[in-house]
Amino acid sequence: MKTEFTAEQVELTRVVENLAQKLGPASVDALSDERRRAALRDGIDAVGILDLRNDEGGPDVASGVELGIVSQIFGRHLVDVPFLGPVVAAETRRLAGIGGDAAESSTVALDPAGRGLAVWEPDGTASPSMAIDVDAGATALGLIPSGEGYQLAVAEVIDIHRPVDLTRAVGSIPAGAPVRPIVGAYLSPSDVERVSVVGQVAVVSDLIGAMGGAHELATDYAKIRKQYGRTIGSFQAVQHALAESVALVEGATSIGRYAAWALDALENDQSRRGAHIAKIYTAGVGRRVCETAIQIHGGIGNTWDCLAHIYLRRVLHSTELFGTGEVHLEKLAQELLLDNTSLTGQVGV
Amino acid sequence: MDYRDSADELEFRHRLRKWLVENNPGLPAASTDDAYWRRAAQWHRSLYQAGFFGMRWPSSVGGFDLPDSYELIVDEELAAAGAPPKPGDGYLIHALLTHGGEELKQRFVPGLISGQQRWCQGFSEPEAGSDLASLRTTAVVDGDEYVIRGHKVWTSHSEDADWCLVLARTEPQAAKHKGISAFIMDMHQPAVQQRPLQLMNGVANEFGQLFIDGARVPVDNLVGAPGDGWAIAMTTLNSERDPRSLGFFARYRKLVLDQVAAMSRHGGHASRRERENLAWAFVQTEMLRVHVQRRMGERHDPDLGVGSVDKLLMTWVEEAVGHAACDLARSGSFDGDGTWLSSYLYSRSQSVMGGTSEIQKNLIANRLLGLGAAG
Repeated sequence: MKTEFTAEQVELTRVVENLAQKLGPASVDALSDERRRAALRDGIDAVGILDLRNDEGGPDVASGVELGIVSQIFGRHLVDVPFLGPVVAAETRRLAGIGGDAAESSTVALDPAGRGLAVWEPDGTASPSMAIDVDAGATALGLIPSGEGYQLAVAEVIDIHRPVDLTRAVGSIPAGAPVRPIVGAYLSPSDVERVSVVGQVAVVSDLIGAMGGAHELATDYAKIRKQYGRTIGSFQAVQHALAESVALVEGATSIGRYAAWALDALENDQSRRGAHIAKIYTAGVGRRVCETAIQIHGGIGNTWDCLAHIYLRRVLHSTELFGTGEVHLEKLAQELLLDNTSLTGQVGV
Repeated sequence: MDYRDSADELEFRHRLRKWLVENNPGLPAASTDDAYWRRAAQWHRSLYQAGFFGMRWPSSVGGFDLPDSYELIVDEELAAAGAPPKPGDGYLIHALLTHGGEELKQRFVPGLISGQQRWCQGFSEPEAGSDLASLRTTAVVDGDEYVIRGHKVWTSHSEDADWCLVLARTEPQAAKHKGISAFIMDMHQPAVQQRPLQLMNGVANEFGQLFIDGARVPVDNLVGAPGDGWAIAMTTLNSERDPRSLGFFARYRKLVLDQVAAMSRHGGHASRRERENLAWAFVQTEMLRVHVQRRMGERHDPDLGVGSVDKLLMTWVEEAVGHAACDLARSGSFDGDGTWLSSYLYSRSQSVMGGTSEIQKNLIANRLLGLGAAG
């Protein structure tokens, strides 16, 4: 049992942290700085982060642990260029056996509730779906039923906007829009579930990063804001709220790291279980940590100019993607009660 | 990074699993039933003799010199077998190994690890709870002995303890935190009287108080030097918050497994909310399992308050498991013998024992976040 990062993983953390800290939006105003955003995109391209799990990008596909490391740092620094979408699209293409060429399809389309890959009509038209983490000119992958499984298809994305998360845009594929089946690209139902599990691991890590970022923002503020002649961080009520957030972020970090490791190291149902549990936990605590951060900021925390709501919005969006905590909790409850031997099945071996 | 067992770990796990088939005493979960505490000593010795307790302690004092991962394997396998948790004496062992001289370690630690001798901890007093340093128990030198007088409360296992790690004031004039010393006191002397404190779930064998009226302790039983008491108390409390030492994961997992079994037997009656509370308790126990695994790969300065983070997390797990138990208790068909009510009522103690949640939050704020002491 070795649960520490390898030297390579520590180095990856350092490189990505440097990049995201330098070029992530450090203020609400910075979100509209297109020069910064372009530099961030170039930096991400230069490090090859988008090819992490793309088997044409390099000799090895990075494991879930590396995916988790990058996602968490990107959440922490509110990275506002596409990452989740391209990574999940790469995973989808890889499972369909068609490899790289990101230009073909920059992201994935999910069903309107965001639970998993969109399933379109057998006649080659779309049902309403949501493309995640998009940029201008995006195309999204979805599924067309085919026999026991699905054929991969691609659609144009329109109506790019940021309804909740100001750092990651979504787009629409409206009902009836034409979709183009990709020749020779097929996914089984278990492949489709696998895509969701990869997506869950990525958004869980993003949630942990974003809630951690909100918490650090609030802690820094509590050290400088003065009332009654002293910093508000010296008041016990403020201290206790922040201390609770520390523990929640730490618990989430542990559960997210295990899920990220399990993604590639364990059998499919065990990695699926790990991801569900991590999503339930992080979705449950993420909003709370962000709300505490807003409260610690007082009045300014409720304004547009405070970064706290940017973290909260990111957490809300990530919570909805690839199954909410509630969806997974109900599913877990059913599984436990149907087959409680599964409770003990995941230790050891 | 690999959370899986190494070949050696796996062999150990399978050996333990096999042993448990024959040797699981089938006791109820600790803290919900006096039957557990009556047989806790026997369970401790049986685990140790089979080579399944004391994994991470040095072999020079009777341990097995194995990595922390073996402690977690023991917890996981005990939970999976529905066996009682391992004894929670790790914090005392850690304190004696950290602060005791070589002779003292050799004299006391082997018996503590093997379970041949039973121990309790005499820290809290009626007027010294969270403010532990205001303790009033005194120890006065008389020849080659100290004479101890005072009143201790919240003393777990006082009833069957042979020895007590007791804190007493040796220098009444010194500053509050400075004049305290730690002693190993023989519990079998007329000057030490113990009385059980019955917990709100009815359990009477776990908890007690000590009336110490002129107990004699040889100077050789002083732990460390005079005045080291506060540092020793902090070491003890820090590791009392350590999920590795406590083996609480096993207790929680066993409770959740039993809850799932109880609810499965009456599945049609459980509401969605009850099912989800149970699933949340499972999620929380799983968080604690992987959190302990992650901590094993990290090194932290014990004074930084990381232990307090772990204690808070552990408390929230206990609360989630307790609330799931409360659901079962409220629904008569699940709780014929009152086990779940007992389990729920006991769960309220976790946010108090070993330092309250409020104290843990103070420590996290001051030490980990650097927010400065509250005025």
